[in-house]
Amino acid sequence: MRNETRADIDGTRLDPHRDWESKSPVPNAFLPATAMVLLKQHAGRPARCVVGRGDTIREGMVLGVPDGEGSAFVHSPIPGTVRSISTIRLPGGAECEAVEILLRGGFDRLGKRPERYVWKGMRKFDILQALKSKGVVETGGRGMPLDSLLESSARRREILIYAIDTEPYLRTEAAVFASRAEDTIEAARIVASVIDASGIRVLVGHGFEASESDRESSSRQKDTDGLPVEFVHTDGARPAATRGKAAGREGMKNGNQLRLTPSSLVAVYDAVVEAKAFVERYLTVAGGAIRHPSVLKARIGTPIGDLVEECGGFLESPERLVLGGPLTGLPARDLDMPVTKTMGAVLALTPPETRRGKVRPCIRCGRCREICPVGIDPETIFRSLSGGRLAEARVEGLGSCISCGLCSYICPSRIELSQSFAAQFGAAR
Amino acid sequence: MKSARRVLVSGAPFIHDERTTARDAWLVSALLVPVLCWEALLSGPGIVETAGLAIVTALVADIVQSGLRRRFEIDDGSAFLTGLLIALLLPAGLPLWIPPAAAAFAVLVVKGAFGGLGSNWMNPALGGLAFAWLDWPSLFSAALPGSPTGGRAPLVPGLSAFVQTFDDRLSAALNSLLFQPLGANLPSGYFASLLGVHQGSVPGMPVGLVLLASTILIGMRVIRWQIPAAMFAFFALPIWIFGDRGSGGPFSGDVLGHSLAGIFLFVAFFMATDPVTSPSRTAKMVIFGSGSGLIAFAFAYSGAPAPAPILAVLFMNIVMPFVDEAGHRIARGGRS
Repeated sequence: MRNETRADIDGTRLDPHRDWESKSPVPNAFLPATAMVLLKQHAGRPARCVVGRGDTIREGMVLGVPDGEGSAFVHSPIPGTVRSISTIRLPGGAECEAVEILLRGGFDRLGKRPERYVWKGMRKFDILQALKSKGVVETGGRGMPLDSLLESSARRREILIYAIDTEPYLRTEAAVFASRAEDTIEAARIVASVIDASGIRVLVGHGFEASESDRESSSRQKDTDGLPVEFVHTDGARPAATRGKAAGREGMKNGNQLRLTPSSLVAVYDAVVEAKAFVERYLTVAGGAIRHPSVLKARIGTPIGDLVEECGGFLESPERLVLGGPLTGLPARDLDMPVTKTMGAVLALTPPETRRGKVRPCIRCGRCREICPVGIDPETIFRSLSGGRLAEARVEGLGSCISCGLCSYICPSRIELSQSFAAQFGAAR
Repeated sequence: MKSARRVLVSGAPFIHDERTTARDAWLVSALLVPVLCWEALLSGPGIVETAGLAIVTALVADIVQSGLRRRFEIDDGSAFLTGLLIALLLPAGLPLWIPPAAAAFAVLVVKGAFGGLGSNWMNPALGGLAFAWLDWPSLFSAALPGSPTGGRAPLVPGLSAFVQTFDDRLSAALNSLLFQPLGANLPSGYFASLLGVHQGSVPGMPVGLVLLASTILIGMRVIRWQIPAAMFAFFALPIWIFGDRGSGGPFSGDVLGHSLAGIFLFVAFFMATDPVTSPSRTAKMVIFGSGSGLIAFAFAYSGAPAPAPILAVLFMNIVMPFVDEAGHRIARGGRS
């Protein structure tokens, strides 16, 4: 399956491996010898640890329980023993407790025939409970627990499956949809039944051509008793576009849609239909320094170094390691960082890709304003902020910033525009 | 597996566009080098001396002005470009102390006084040129080609004459083949103008090379076409309407002749498009360009002491912030 995604921004070619193809089905990464499971992989407070050092753990066992709004259950991705519970520093500066598990013993589920539960008879409450108890959170952004997300989305009329990746290098969502389209759409039906939505729309990118027609017809057949599923193609002019002003052009109605990615939806499917805890996720391993870029399905807690090694190791020493997309991700210090529920990619970037440069004075070229997907003027806002005029910056639209990073990407003077805006929100993510 | 121990850890985004401020400035400079070389072939090595002096002065001045603010930014290419632009716009045959004087004024006073690149209130090269031209007008008029002291021995003797002959023959051929059957007549001189050989007493430019370089820059999105287009339209239109001064009636002005001769197109493409001192929104670019064009026409028509396009763009550099402010006021519904 070829799922070439938005590798261009504003006409500039990115991603030296733009010809690589993700495999379908997405291969499983090797199991980690030790898994480092963070107790905060979601929006709210860290989960409360319920295991102790030396405990024997089974696959899928609860390690942490939610602590307040936005917090979620954390499960063990592998069977074994708890070697330590330590505090580690996260990218972005925060600290977080982590449970280190040494792989030992047999798997309860891996390699066994999956269970299948019929969700159609389930009550809404039970579905929400299943999502909650299996620790399902959004696989991008801040990682909102799915049950709270659905409870606050009761008025959304339509489910939008976002089967495209919004940043260069990333192939995760397209690959998940390519290999598990049926499950994704089934999960969208589950979600629709919870929030009483009346339609499902799938946003797909260029690469989605090969088996698209038969998939559309097959889904239509199945829909005699289900919800109508409509496919929308996007040409993906630039990343993040469909999050902002270009959304209208692509048939997106912002107000009454619930937007979910395929990787979130397959987690819903696994939790509700197969009663599986959220312990593995799909992610892209790419960048100029990676020998064989791939999309993999990895256990939560796997050190990113293992994944890099599985992708053939480094071609050269990377200048930057990124957890997530190249525009909105987080910087990683080393290869010991574990995979988390919200980590969509591991990128190892080389100097010709990062193109760092000296920060110079603004030359008022206006490129940041032209590229901004929400139509604000980063230049003016930055001027106001650097002059200490926060109120003025707000009037100029600071609050509309979605931190997509495009202004900082395009700035020829390498001014940290989006970074300084994010700092104002206190959203140093 | 190689180690990744020395990675950087600052925040997103982690990738950047290939364009940088410095790359753009050096690119413009590189595209102007052929223009400089052609001028040297055509009218003598004086232009190379001029360029050398202006560039060295600009670089030294930039070290001084940025050093005063404890940040050396000579690698951003802007000072080099300022020196080069000044050299290209100065007529050949000036005393050799004029180019350094113009470059020093440009970088120390115009650029340095308000905080360096990014804070320019007018294009430094234009400022330096206007300063020199208005201070020593007699030296400039003496140096213009066509005047007794102007010009020097060309590097390739007879090149101008060759271009002139080429122009005559091409114009004649085109006339007999194309224009006369249509009842029109192409005066000779246009093709020579494209190659930098001009009749009369205007400082010339190889307009063909200038247009080629501009096309490349527009294609690479280093400069925008809107400002030069508006500037040309509002320069050409009044010329055509009012006709040549002293000769010809209304609606008969020699638009091509006036645009190709002199430095108009060069200023329109390389000076009016300086991002720091020009707007970047389409409506404002049109205002800026058309204003520059109209004023250039007005100065040219009234016979100003310095070349009209330079004064026109300088004037618009200075007025544009006020136009901006007025625009904001209108947008806010009249409240200040």
